[in-house]
Amino acid sequence: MRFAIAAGLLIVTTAGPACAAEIEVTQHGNQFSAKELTVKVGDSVSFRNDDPHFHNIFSLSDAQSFDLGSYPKGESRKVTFAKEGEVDVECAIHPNMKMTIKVAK
Amino acid sequence: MRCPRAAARLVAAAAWLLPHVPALAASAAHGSAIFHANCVRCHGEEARGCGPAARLYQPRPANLTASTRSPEYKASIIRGGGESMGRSPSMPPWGDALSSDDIADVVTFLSTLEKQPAAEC
Repeated sequence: MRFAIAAGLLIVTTAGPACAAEIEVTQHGNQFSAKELTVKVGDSVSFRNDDPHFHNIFSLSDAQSFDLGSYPKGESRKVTFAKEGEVDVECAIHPNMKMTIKVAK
Repeated sequence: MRCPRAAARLVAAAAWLLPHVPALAASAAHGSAIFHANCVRCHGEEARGCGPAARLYQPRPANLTASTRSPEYKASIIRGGGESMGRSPSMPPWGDALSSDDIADVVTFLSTLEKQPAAEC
């Protein structure tokens, strides 16, 4: 019995998310390509800079705070969302750039 | 007057400075507006390095009231970002978003701040 429980735990912990998706959001004309986005826990969002200048994507939300740093045109940086909630995403260099990502179970 | 030369120098300095005072005040006011729109998120309202985003960064954002760097250095790090000056890459490059005049005005504004200890955050 103990062996069966241990084996089960091993499968659960090593299997990871069954269908984690990666969604791309671009930055062009100092705007995000989506104002709102809904993803699932475990999904990733890749932020691609299509503008000829730097962007610096970050969030201070309780659900997930992050800072992707400053990066130039053509580069992407990715965030994986680990828990449900609402994540407000902004650009540190262009305060008018805002979007919301809803992370659902 | 005990020292007429010193008095003459003082008068000359005041004569030079007075016409510039309104321009400096306008520059600092514009710089303050730019600072509060763009910089407080990291550096904080009082520029002491403790804005709401400060917790995301290590090292923490600089206490700008205590900086001993030259105006040219400050303009360069604002324009090119921290990495361009061998400092924290968390400081973004603002050269595409702010004009040279904007950056100069921010530097003027920073020069008006009274030195304060770094904020605890």
